[in-house]
Amino acid sequence: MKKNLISGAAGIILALFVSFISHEQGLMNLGFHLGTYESEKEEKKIEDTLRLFNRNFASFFNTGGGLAGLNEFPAANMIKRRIFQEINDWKKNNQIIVYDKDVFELESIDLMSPVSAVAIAREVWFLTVQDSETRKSLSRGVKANPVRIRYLMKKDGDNWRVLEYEVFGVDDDIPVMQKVRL
Amino acid sequence: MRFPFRLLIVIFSLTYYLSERAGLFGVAPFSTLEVLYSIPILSASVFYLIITLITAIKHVRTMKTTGWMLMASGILLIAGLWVSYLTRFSGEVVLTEGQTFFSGHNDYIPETFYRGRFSKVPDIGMELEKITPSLSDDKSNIQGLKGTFKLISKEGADSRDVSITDRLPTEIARTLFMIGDFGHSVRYALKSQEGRVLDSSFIYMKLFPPGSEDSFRLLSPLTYYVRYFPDGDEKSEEPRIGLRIVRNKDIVFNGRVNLTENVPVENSRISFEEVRMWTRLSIVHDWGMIFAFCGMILGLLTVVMRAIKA
Repeated sequence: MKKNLISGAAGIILALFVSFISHEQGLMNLGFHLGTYESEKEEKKIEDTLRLFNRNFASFFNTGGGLAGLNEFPAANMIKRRIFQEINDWKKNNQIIVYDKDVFELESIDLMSPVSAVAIAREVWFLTVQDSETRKSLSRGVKANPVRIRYLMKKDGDNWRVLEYEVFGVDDDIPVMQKVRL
Repeated sequence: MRFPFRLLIVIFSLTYYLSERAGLFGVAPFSTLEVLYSIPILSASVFYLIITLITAIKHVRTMKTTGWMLMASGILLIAGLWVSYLTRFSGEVVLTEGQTFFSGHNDYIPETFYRGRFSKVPDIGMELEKITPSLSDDKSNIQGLKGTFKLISKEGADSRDVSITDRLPTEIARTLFMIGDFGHSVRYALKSQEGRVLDSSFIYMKLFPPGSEDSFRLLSPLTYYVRYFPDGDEKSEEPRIGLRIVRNKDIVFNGRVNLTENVPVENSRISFEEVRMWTRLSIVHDWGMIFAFCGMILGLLTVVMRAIKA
């Protein structure tokens, strides 16, 4: 009986050890599941990342595709591609679209796992179309664009980046996120 | 000392399986197949087999019937694991009504696809004719799914209809089929200002239950967010599409449209011409399951016999 107990305990310890060493940052993952993860620190990092994201986002549009800040832009390649695709579309007509941020308020940050999070922000942007050379406004006025944005974030190493974002109207309900997206 | 060592391997395998399935140290839990085909489990099975065979050889004269049965059960389970690991072919594919499926194609959802080193690709073709979902009274939950498929033979003759459900697997040509999950595929049509169709295709989306939202993109920087209301809304009893078109962070359209209604977008128009249903078809060709099933039955029988004798 004693031998069986020792054998069973050894089996459990060995299995947990093998499981632990077969994952990178197994201790951090375990901490997350047990609720001892430093979530406040990560939430602050996520907020900083989103502020940097929006600063660079506006800067790319406002400079008509200037590449300054591209390396530090915390976004997936598909997002970068969409931004520069639109900038080039405007450029073809000698125009640029200017994004002027008025409001950025984080509504919530949900850490889904140690390396993924969902953040919802309320943002207001003022948009104007300008002539790319004279910078004269070609719009009838300034378009106020109040939106709610759901950011899907991923952590690479020590840094967070925006994997994808979904844009909703301020009166739209935000549907349950489909797990497959993360 | 030998029996405790076998116990150690069994406890090790069970604990490792539970730990990985729960995702204790991982970012997310592993699937059952990922855990079963992992090196720790496969290695443990080999150790168990070696110890079992050594024990059998040493006690060949003295072993009782239930001992032999237990040993055979263990060997069958391990054989099942290894046969499955080496020869299994399985995957899931999303099919829209009217779509044809050939088991040898490469459109399986990558994270569901498994092909063992010595697997044989089943040679089966079928067309999804109709999906019949059973919905709850408030139409927000699926209670059952039935798909009617037409089997396609190589010669084109001898086609017959088969039903595949989400309850029990259906066996066709020694391959198991099941369906699960359900949603709507919308066919968009991108048109020129003059109304000429530039591009049109079905896109499967998670639009069930009504109010759920999914999105798609074409080549432009626009994102199309879609919701589907098959029973209409407060304005119409006809099916309605909730559509939001976004260019980066700029919402360029946000409203509800009818099917076939044109929505102007940039220098073109977009409409949604029809909506069909899709389901996820899973296909499993795995001889190892038979060995494992026999092993489990034999194991249970042994336990029952030992309990009766005791």
